[in-house]
Amino acid sequence: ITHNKDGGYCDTPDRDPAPVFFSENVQTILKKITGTDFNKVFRQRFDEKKLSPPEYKFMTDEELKQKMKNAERLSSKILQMPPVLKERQAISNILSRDPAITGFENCKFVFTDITYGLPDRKRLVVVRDPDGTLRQASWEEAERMNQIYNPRPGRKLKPPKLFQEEHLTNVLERGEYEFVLDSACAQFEPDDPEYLRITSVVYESVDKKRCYQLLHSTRHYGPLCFYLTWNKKIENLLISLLQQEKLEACADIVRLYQLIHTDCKSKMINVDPNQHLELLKAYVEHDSLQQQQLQLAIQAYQEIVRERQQYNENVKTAHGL
Amino acid sequence: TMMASLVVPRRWYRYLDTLNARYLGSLRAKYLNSVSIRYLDTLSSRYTASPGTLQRHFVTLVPSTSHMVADAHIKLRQQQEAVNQVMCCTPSGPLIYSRRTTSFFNKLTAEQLWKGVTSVSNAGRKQGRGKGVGKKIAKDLNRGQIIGVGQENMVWPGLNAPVIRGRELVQQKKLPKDEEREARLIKIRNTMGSFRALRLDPLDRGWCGNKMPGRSIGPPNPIEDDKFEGFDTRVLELKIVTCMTAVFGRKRRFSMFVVTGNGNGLGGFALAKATTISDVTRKVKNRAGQKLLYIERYNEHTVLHDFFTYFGRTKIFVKKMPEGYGLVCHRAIRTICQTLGIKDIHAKIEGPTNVQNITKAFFLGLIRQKTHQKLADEKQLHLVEFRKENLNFPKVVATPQSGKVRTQEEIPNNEELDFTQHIMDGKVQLVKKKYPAPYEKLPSYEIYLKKYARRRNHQKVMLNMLVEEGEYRSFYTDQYPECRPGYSSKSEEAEAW
Repeated sequence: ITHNKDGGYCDTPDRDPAPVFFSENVQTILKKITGTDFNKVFRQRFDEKKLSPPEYKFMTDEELKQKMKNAERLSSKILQMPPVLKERQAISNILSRDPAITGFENCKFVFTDITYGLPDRKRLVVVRDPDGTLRQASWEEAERMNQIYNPRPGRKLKPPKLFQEEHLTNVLERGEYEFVLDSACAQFEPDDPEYLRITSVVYESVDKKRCYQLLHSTRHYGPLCFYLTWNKKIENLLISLLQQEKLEACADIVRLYQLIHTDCKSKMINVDPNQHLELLKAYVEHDSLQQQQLQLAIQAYQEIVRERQQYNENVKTAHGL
Repeated sequence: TMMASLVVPRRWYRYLDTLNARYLGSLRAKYLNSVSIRYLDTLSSRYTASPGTLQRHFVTLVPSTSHMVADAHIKLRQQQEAVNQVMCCTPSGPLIYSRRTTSFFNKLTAEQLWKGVTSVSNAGRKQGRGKGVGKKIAKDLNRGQIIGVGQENMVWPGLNAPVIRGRELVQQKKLPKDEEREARLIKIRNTMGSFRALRLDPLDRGWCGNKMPGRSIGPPNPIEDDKFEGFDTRVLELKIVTCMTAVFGRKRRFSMFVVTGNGNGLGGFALAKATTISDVTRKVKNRAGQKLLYIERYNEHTVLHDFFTYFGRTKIFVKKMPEGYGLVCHRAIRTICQTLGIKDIHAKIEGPTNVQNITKAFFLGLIRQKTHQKLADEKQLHLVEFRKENLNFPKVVATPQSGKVRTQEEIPNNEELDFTQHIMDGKVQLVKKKYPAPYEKLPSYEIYLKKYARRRNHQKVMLNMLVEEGEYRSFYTDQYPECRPGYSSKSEEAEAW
């Protein structure tokens, strides 16, 4: 698996994915294609907590509706997508140079502002180097200090060995995509180059194995689709969606592509938004990089639909309807 | 070599028998040497009766292999022979030297012989002797033997060989003697213990040590097509009950109370009485197999809901529990649940713990359970399940079959809508307040907590260290090799070598 060295979004090197990702149209599309399978969203997680017996309630229709609304609100919270940001730039902010105190100590001093209630990103962390310079701490130093003074659950001081290359490939071979992505979200900030590397590795692996369904109905499906669309790698995704006969999802992906790559050719063609297959065909003709495979898939889908129709008609005539 | 045998008066035999076997040989020799020879001399003159009289009054002693006894007997025999010679000459002299051809040995049945050796007198039985450990059991001498095969190794057509083999008639034939047959039989008989082994395999034990309660007695006997597959019966109670009768006096019977089940919701219990254990076992398990009930379970591991039940003065509060909780209840209820296939439950008994009443109360409660559908129909409302591990997602378990769900206005004010209250019929189990432990108020407890706080997280830290560093280490480990767990100066020296 090869990953882009500058972090996954280097197809257009200086383009920031964040404004596109957070735009309303893109967000609605991503939320739509993620899906909300309550059985998966509210499934039992194995977190070593003691089981308790279930509780039962008699409910009227209204009460049940109210509870379902609460559940939907909770599910949208659970399915909140981790943000897609550009890789952060290294901090180089020197507050003062004092060469007079060079060699006062043979180690650095780190000063952290531990005021209660400050968010981690706004917390001021400065470092006095042995050569006398007082500078703002680098991202790594600041994160480490924040974790020491205000530890976050699930985050470790030293990143786990899971994220090293050999171990990562091993885990991904077993298909534990959601676990790796959840761990990465807990450990790193979204603009951390490490986070971007790990997520791109995982997304590439998912794309290679075509296991998109494993991430469906999780909070990682949106960023996955966004990554693939940003890097123009949606062919496999479209084919697998076609095989599952999810035309609307295919059309949504194409629309997403058009929103991200505003200079694409298929956008010019005015296609009725309800005709999902037509939209897909327009994409295949003009913008696709693997036309043949997609066309084959479309043909196969159309054949299946035709045969099914034929079969149903045969059955009807057999029954004399 | 012929063994010299001794003829001794019966009274003397009884005395000699009481002597310790170890010293018997030497003492007998001494005794016989000195006394009996002289006595025997007088015999010839005293007794002129027929051999019958001699039989009554004299016993043949076959001596032991003690050399002293042998010596004595040889001397005696020589003298006897001398006497015999004298006797043979006289016309009506008694036969002193006679051996028995029959005795009690081959006049009594094997059962009677064994009874003689293993039994306890009636008086002893009344006092409880000959029960349990220490009771001698008869050895079955037929084990290892086949009908038709005996000391003489012969082919008996029709018995241990076919009558016609191919085209020829098989003839009676004497085969060479099987040398090892005796040795084999003796070996088998030696392995048979003479005492009843009361050591049970731990897996076969119930909850009453080596006794029956809690133990399995197998499935009920099959009836035609019904094989009772998957059924297992467990004894809950085994008592000896007595009543006085006019004819026999105290009449003793076994009373057995069992529960049977197939581990899948089918089960039943029964009580039976009989005079022997085997009879009562057979009776009771078959009776239990006739009285089967089907009880509903939730997800095949627990009851449908909490309930309260009682029979007599025995009251049980039963609680539904999640997977992995186990059977936290009285051992009788635990046995019943195991046979029925319930794996997780909490049951608290209040009042007497009479096993029969517990069983009856529990079964009553189980069959009176209401399924989710029935509850929804009763109330005309949705029945919704909330599980903590599923983040309290409202899962509709049952809706009224009629399709009509009552609205808030249609429900009267005083109706009980709380699920637990509705199920328990208004009863509330007393939950006793949990008080802090008596040591928690003492000042020494604070000191202990402060000291413990230092090492409270050590286990987690050490586990993390193994994960991250691979070994237990500190910042001294690199510089000083002795700062490693398991380091000893001897190993250092060995390495230096």
